[in-house]
Amino acid sequence: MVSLLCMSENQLIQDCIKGNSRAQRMFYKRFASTVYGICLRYAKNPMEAEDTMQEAFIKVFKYLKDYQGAGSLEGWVRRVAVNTAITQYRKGLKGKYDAQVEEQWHLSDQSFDQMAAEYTMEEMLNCIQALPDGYRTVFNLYVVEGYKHKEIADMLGIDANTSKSQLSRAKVHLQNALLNLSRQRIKKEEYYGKFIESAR
Amino acid sequence: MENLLNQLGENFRGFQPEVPMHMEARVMNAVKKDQKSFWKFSLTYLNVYVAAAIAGGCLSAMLFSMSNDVTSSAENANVAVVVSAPAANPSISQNSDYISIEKSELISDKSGRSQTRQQASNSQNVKPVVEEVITCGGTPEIPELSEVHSNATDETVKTQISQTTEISKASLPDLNKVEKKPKGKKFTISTFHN
Repeated sequence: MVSLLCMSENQLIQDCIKGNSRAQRMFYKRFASTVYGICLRYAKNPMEAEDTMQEAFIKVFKYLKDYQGAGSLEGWVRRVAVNTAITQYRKGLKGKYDAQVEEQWHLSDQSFDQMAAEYTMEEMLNCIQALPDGYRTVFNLYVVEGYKHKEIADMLGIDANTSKSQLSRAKVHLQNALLNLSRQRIKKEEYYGKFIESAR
Repeated sequence: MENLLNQLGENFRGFQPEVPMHMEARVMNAVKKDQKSFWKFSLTYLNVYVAAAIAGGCLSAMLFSMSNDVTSSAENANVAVVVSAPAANPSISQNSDYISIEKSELISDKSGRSQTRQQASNSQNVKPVVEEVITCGGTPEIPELSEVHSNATDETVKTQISQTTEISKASLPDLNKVEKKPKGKKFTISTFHN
């Protein structure tokens, strides 16, 4: 076990390619949380994220032999996970028409800034997961992964303008979700305030 | 707005939540299952191997039996011709007592032409008798007797050879029927005779 812990990245990769289960377990432990974090962002819920994570690791071990060493291994694993999530999203699109609201919503930058600063990562993640599939995917690809709209359009097989509009709608959805969250907070605070007063 | 999005992106890029405990076993099992190849022997695919072996055996047996049928029918067709020619030869040996057939072979080509070569040798008094029977698909020819040397029974040998040619004439239509398989238009034998 000690030897595995001290194992170099190249050695670990070679052992994983050979099918050494201990090395694969080691590899998993090294990248599991990173991959799970990506999958959580792209999935609707933790269950879907787990499915995506499983698929991502299968792909990682399958195509590890193709990793040339250009760039970091973590970057490569992240890219595989993102591509898997996109594939899952595209599979979900088959035979499903996501009725999108065609209203033109405008969001003031200031209000978004104010709201987003108040929430924790977990709350933000829940709000992102609550987004419709297309919005969530575009939001993740643009905001977190840093892809351009043209690249996103190519990846998802959509128009660049569609990507832009989906991003703006994702922001509006996020704003509404955060508003609801803050209302719930206020209600909770009021409830606990009354409870404490009554206790006194 | 852009600043906030950038900050959000950075935060999420480094986001490493706690992975559920059951995921490790689940992922490793899935990876193992995926890596099992059909061509590597495993108990998982044992039933598939057995089914494939049975199917292969049945198929090969079927093919073997079919090929046997084809060869036997072809052999029957050839035997009908070959047997007809030697059938006359025993009469030679029976009558003359000193002529025995040593070799008989049949050469047939696609055109339906067949050649039967028979070499007979005289065991005691008679010199070797070489007989060549050439028969064509449509019009059978009378065989040419290239060499016939005998001391005492020249006439009897000639008469026997004429008998053989008659019998070989009788066997010819069988060869035509077997080897010529009309696929499209049928040419009836009656027109041929007429």
